Amino acid sequence: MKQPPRSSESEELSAQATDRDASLARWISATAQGDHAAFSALYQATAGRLYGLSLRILHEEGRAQECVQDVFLAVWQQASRFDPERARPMTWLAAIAHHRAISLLRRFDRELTAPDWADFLMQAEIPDDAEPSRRGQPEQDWQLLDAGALDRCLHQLRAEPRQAVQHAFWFGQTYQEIADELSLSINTVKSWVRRALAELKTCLGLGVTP
Amino acid sequence: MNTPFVAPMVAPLEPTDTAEYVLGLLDAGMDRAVEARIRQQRAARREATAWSLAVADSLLQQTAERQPPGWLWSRIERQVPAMTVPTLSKVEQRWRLVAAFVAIIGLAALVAVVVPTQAPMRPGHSAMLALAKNDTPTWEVMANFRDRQLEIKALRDCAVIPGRKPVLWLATPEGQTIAVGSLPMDAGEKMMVQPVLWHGNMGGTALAISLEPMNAPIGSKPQGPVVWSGGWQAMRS
Repeated sequence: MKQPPRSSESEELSAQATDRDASLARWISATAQGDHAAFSALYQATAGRLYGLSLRILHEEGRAQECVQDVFLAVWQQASRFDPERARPMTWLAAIAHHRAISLLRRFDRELTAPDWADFLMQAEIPDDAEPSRRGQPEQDWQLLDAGALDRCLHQLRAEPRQAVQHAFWFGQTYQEIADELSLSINTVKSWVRRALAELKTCLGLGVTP
Repeated sequence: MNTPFVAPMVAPLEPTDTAEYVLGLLDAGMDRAVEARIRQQRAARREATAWSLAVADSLLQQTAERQPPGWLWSRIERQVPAMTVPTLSKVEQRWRLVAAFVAIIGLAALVAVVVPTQAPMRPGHSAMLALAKNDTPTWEVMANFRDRQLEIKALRDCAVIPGRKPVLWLATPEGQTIAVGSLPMDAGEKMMVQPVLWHGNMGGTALAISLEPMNAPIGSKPQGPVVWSGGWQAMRS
């Protein structure tokens, strides 16, 4: 069977993603105006992916349902804060879900609740100590720090630290759980993960935290 | 002698603290400390945002879609505030206002003529709720199990600790917890509720009141302290 040229296939996929993002952004914007139909459409289009993500981390249907519920209540409250210039709509929703799932999983009493995190993700500003040439310009495009960038940087790590840090990224595991999974000491896992995170930070261009 | 005020020292973040916070790798105490610091430091806030979005995007690529149960949307929908009317032009708004006013007058006249003493609900069971066990009742709840309808009335003004709100829950014999909603706070205030998830042996359902954080959404089970619980009493016909 003849395959279509790769470039046109990727262009088509890219166009579909752009259309999907545009629809999601439109529904989020309408949700901010209190439009129930748009809120419902947003739920129908995204709940499956967010539920899958929550289940992957939480492993329990009840808590995954609670997580998805909290995400959508946060979206209802903070939809006006969403800025498509800073993040793709699905990424924003998934980041809120990930933050909430981690809080539920660890039973952390975080002050930054799901609505706070939804707002927080849209508030990042240029730090005071940014290079003068960068002041007054739009900040680094958040879409640049997408899965592509992270995955490219992950592949530059050595195999063992990469495997350890992937358990934290993709399964929400603690140091102890990763150590058990990989049959390693917790100190080795901590050392690998921290070194991997530091290398990823440099690779992603996140700079040094003051 | 007055001791001069010294601003508390904020320890700098370790290079990977922010990423570890986003991934939930820190212990509870460290998690709170790093959270406080990323709220104070703009660069750390920016870094936390970047990590959160990058991890979320990567996680999405790894995750298969799973459909949540159908009732989850009903539960979410029930907890969002009253939906606003879609945007209308000023002329449309004016005409709709006039039409609504005329309809209300007409309906009021009709109700006054045709059903002057219509009972809103035929309750079969009731419960008196309080803010503490053996305390004076603060609310009366009447229930019609057939229609899955509850009428809640505040018997007196209610005051709870600042930042908290009293929330009514139903706990079914099957172990399901159903959030009914925030209780009315002013004497005489009434509310009617039809909990959509309430089925089965309603007479065996327990009632409970918890004090939930004021600005947090109500979840599927109490997060705050449960201050009162009890059951239904059958009303004499």
